[in-house]
Amino acid sequence: MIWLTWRQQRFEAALAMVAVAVGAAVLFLTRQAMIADLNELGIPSCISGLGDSNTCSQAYQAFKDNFGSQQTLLGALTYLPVLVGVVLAASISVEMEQGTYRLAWAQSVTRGRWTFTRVGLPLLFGLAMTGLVAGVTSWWMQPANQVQGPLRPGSFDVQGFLPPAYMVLAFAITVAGGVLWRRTVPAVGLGIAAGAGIHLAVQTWLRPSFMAPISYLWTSGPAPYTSQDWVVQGGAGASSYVYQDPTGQQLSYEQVQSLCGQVVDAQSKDAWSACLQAHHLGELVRWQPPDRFWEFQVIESALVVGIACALLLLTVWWLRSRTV
Amino acid sequence: MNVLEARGLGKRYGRRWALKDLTLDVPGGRIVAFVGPNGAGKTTFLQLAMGFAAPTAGTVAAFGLSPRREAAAFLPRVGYAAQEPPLFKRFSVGELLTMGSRLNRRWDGPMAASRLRSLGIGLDLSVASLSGGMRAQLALVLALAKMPDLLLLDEPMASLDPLARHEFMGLLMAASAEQGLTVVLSSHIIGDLRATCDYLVILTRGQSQLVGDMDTIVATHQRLVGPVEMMDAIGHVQEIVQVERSDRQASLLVRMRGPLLDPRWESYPVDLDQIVLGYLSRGVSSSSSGDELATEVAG
Repeated sequence: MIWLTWRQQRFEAALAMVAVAVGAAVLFLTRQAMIADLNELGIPSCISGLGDSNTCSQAYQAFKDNFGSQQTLLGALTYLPVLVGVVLAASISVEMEQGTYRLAWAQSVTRGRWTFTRVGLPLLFGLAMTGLVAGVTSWWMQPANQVQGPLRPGSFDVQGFLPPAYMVLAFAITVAGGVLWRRTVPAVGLGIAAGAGIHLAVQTWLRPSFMAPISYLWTSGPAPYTSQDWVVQGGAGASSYVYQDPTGQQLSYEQVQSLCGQVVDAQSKDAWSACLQAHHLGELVRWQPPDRFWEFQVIESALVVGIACALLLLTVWWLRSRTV
Repeated sequence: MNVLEARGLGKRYGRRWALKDLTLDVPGGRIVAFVGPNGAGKTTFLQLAMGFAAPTAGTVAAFGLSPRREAAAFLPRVGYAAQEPPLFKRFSVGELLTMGSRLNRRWDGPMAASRLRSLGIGLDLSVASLSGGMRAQLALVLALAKMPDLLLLDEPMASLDPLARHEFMGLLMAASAEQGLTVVLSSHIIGDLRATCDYLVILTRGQSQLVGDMDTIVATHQRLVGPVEMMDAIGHVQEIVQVERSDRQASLLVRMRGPLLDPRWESYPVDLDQIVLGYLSRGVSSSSSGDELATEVAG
């Protein structure tokens, strides 16, 4: 059975290995550039608390801007596991579509053994491949983590348990689709769409509140959070702001605008600040500190692997008792 | 001893019974033909016998083993091939043999290789490059290499031209004689079966119309020609399968239940084709829809 599974999937396995190897090579090369950038900006002394805070925040910003040019690479790395999972599962869909599983079932191999080897072996291989990717990217992200923390969307997704977890999810969706639907193209489409969709949904709606964020009413002075914190509400560059007065009543940005006017230049900005102080309003800021990295990793991968396991159980049950 | 037994076997898909209440005993060493139009339940029976599907009602067993619950003991003793056989197209012929040797403890690789050689199928050929006839033969060779005691073939010749069909049957006959195996095959072509099969099951719409030994079936069926007004009387003695009547004369296909005593009836022998057609048209006329099943079966 092991020989047969390898023979049926060696092309997909080679494809996955090539993708992983190319990814690792790119990471290895870009990490050197990233460390050079880090040293050039004098960030190591900032991290050890020696640098001037103003210079340091400028250096951090410069590094983040440079690092931003790696966004495409990060995006590719985020969805590589989904792709690996779908590719490894596609061969089983093809087998269901063409009915060739009956050839194996007509040999002296029980259906249970066939199912566990045919589904389990590619899954293990995928885990090994994406585990390798996760190891390399976690190592690659170390310099960036020092500056911007490990929790930011994009960087959090390519580290720790998440790459293998999302590989398992995409694999499970594609296998379930292929076994129940018996059509390869829709199953592969579903695997990609649902794998990436669930990832985006968790990242956007669930992850910011995996644990209660630290809340702070920011009235004046420097930012209460550090460069390594993941700000989930308000803060610089946010898309929406919430204000709160001492009684706990919350106001939207629009409500505050009707109270304090618009910010268009430096003068109106000062007026805005004065108006906020006069009304005793502060901006509500929430963030997740970087030391929650492993808790967040465990929560998200448990959630994702849980969904995948439910789908795999359904698939195995369907293969063993419903498939003709 | 019976190799294959079914008791009240049925399979329902949704509301439709694909096979209903089939009971049969296939003695060892027989070549059994399941005959019937498409959708009659032939494939369903073979899937149940092979353990691919679970019965909705009744039981099926080979060598006293349940194909699903006792699969580990059942599978090594049975070979299976189907119409447009599911073969891995990216494999070479030799790799399919390797698969067989790895997935079966009982496996006669040298025999399979020599059969393929004599059929002109090279081991280094890719499966995708083989013709339909060669694929059917390859599937049969793979099934035979398991050294099975029972061979289940689902419309193995449906996609073959007459010459390839002839060669396929030749291979099957030689192998069954050499290996002493029991064969169950389904077909909607009855032409070749008289010479090769010795046990017959006629199915229409999931119901078995006739089950039995081929020679006995031919010996116990006759065509009786006589006056129309005597039809009821003869119907009490013999089982009337099919009726063709004019104003005065009736021509009946009957299954003889007793001696023919009334001299007003003349009896004629019938061949297998006519018997099969008679039962198939009975299966059609007993239900209201009028598919052109009988003509297709005669093909």
